[in-house]
Amino acid sequence: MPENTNRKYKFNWELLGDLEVGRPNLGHQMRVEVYRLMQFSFRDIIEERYGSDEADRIFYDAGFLAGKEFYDNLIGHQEDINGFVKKLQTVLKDMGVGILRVEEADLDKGHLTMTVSEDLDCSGLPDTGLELCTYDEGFIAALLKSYSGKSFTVKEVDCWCTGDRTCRFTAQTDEA
Amino acid sequence: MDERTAAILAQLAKGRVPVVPPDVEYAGQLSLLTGYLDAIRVFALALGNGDLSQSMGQSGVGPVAGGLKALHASLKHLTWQTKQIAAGDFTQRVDFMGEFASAFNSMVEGLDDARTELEMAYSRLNDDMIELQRISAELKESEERFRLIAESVSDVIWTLDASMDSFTYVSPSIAALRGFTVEEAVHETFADALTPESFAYVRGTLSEKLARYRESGKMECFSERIELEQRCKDGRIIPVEVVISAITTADGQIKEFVGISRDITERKREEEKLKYSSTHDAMTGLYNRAFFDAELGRIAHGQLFPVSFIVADLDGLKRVNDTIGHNEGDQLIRGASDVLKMAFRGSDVVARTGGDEFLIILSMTDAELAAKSVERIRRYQQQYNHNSGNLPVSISLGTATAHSAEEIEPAIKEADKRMYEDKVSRKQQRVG
Repeated sequence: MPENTNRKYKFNWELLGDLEVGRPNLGHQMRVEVYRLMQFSFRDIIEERYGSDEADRIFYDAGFLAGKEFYDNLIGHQEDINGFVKKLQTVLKDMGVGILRVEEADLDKGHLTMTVSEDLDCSGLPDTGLELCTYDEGFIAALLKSYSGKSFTVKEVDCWCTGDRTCRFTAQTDEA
Repeated sequence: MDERTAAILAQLAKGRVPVVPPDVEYAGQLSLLTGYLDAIRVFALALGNGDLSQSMGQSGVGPVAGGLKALHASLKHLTWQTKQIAAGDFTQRVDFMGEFASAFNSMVEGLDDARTELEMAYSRLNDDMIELQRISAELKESEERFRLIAESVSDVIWTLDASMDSFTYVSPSIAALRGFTVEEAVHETFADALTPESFAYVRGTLSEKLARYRESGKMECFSERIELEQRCKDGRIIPVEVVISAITTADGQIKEFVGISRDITERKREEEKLKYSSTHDAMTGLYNRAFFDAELGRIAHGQLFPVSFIVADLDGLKRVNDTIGHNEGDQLIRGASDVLKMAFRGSDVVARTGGDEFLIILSMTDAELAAKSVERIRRYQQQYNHNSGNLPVSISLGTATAHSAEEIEPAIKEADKRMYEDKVSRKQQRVG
């Protein structure tokens, strides 16, 4: 797809605004339902106009963009995988995104398995039998690329929406 | 519901998967259900056996399987955390699994504390090691400095074991002092290195100092110079001045003695010269007035009576000095001295007490023997005048004998008086 040069809101971190000034009374917090309301309303319209597969691709790409900016602005350079995981766990928990747990992390083999409990996107959703968290897949792929410099394919294998109680993601590097 | 279906459901409720008869109309659905339950059973069994490598795959959907999968995920994460802890990351904490989590976290905190204590202990040990290395380097430097000093000074530095028997170190200057190599000197016993008298003396002195040290604990007890005699390799005996101190252990026990020996042969020689010159007349080699007076004191307190005195006066000395010269006058004095030396034994005290006056002390000699001594002087005077070729010597003589200390002074006066009488008498004889 050719790049749209006539952009109104090309993303940058400044677009998130100054919440100290902008929300002196309400602060940083809001209800999770509001976040999900916006996400699912976006997903609904996008899916209706472009189809489910394209909607998934859009959410994956948006998650990837968010993951890269998240790493650059909130995680920063980390010396080793343990430091990276620890920092990510802390930030995700502090911001109420979810509880990250690592099951396996072997960067030499380019393979990771991790779970996110109490996930902002899907925990508590109805069991539809379909994995939902394509945004998270893109988000995690970008985090891993930012940390390691390598491209990863991230796949959600378990999801609240398939009846599980935690979202499980596998990540495998695309590079040898 | 028919009876068969009720029975099948009852079996399922007990966890038993029934054998499905082929003629049941819902056999396909029942097969799916039993397959699902069987997959859960296999997965649960693997979890129970600790096998976390199993997964439920495509059949593991829905909330029933989800609960088991959540447990599986927690155990997998716990395994990963345990590996991180094993690799040294003690910041890992378990924030799920209830009571187990607090027990596990307590264990990790305990490990962390233990590691911190170990690191601190290691750090202290490391600091101690660095300090020990510094002290060791200083000690080595100090030893090297001591070795250089010990090997470059002419004094002999040595160490002796606490039993005062064997040397543990002898500096190379031993070769110059006593002619022994270091190897030979170290293998000598302390007794071998000294004359028997010196060994007895130094052993006694050291024992005494040791006793004082044990009483007072003060190292100053050892700071005293003593003079000893040592045997050289060529058999000579040489005088040495020795300073002996002690090296003690931390609890004050004597570990070794350390000594410095200095050759004082030259000093002794100078002392002898000084002593000789303080007691002898430089021109004649006879005793001087000071020695004579000291000897009188000794005789007064001794048991050598009777003691006879001979006063001798050289005739004509002033005339020779005035008419021929002082050199000849001095020669005349030396001539008289030679006569007196020939006439007496080495143990007799023959002193020059004035310019031309001599006094002789004869211990345990009565008047009769003294008179024979006077005759002997006359005889040797005659012999000297005949043989020497020098100006002839003429000596006036007077004797007296003391039998006690109180009679010494009167006896000397009496001898002096008799000497004058002899001088006058002989002058009259020459005139007559």
